[in-house]
Amino acid sequence: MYGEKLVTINNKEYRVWNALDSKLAAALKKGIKDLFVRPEMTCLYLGSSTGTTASHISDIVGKNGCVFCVESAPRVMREFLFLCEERENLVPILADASQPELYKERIIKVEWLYQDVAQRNQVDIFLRNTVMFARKGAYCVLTVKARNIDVKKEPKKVFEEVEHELEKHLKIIAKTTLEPFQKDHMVFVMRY
Amino acid sequence: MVCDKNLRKKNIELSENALRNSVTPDILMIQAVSMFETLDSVQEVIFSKFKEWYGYYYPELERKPGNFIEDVIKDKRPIESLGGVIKGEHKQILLKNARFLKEFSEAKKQIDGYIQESMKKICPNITALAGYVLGLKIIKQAGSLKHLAELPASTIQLLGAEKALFRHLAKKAKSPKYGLLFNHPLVQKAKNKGKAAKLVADKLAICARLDYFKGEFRGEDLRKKIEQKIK
Ligand SMILES: C[S@@+](CC[C@H](N)C(=O)[O-])C[C@H]1O[C@@H](n2cnc3c(N)ncnc32)[C@H](O)[C@@H]1O
Repeated sequence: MYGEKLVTINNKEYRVWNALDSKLAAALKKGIKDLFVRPEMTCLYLGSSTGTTASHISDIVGKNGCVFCVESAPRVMREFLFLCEERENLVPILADASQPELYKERIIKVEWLYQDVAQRNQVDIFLRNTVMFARKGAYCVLTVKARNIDVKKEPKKVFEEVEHELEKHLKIIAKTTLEPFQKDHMVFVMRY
Repeated sequence: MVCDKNLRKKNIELSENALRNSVTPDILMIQAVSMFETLDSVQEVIFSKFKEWYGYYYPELERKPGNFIEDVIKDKRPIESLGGVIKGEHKQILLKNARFLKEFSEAKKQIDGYIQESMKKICPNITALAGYVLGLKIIKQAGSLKHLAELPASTIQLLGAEKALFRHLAKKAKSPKYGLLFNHPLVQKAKNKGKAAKLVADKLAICARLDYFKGEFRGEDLRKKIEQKIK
């Protein structure tokens, strides 16, 4: 799909989910036991880019699942639209995730939510989308890039503050940094 | 849950339309200037390769005044030339390449003309203040005219100096005072380049907004104001 390896085990073909290409794969490698995404789930993916990671979520939820993908950059959305032609469980939304009111009619409530948007106000974006689209009890995964929030501050400090903010609304189940795959990133796995 | 077919279809349609509508003239101009820069960066290599090749046919031409490529195409090699006797397919391919080089130069000129005209039309204020080449480079660095119009002057001042800025913030290196604006003629001339860059950035922020919202033409005035202040 994007140059990842394919392996065949017991006559079934699998796509390798590479930790260098995808932060969620990196999180699993770093010891996150479960991302809580399951077959048949309805999902929301914020910051889907060209769909590298979204394609793996699409594989996991399968044909009876659905992944709404919000992306604000037209250039990458173009590639993503081509991907949607091949994968019927992907739903493209070219929109700014910081304005969820503008696309609230276009998404139904979801059971799993993931965000990776590399924006200064990423926590705020995440919380507002969670409140608007996540079912009670939904699993929410957030990738935080410290540098985007504040370049001057120690990443550790940034993560602490983010965690404090998240705890007001969600229960944190697990978290991990992504070294050596990504610098100054933290992934939070939570329940709403 | 299976995707609702209608909801999915509606989302695809809306996204496709939004994608089509996202293609604005500034984005096309950014592509054009990027192509121009690429052509420019390979021109010398290509031309010198060709001259080397052509030197085996008519080495004296390179030293003659006039337009080299035009003269190659005219193909008036004197019999006493030091080059080899080259005929048939060996000569044909050489001349075909010369025509390609001529078109290469013309393509560059055409892009340049297109950028100049479109910038004047679409971004008259930015063009008056910074010139069409620098103006477009700044738009390119910001990503789009819309984006540039949303940026504060302090960020515009440092467009193109992102690496230095990051070094400054992360490692407490000296803070940069200008990026692309270093190339602005008024900054070049100024003794205090940092201050000049700030003045230009302030006015450029106004120009970007005027151009984005299709406001009045004030670029010329704004430029004069900077000139006065620098004096
Ligand atoms: C680091 S990339 C995501 C990579 C992707 N998650 C993957 O692993 O394949 C961040 C993406 O978020 C998008 N983005 C940034 N701000 C956004 C916003 N406000 N709304 C929607 N998408 C945004 C960017 O355009 C970019 O494509």
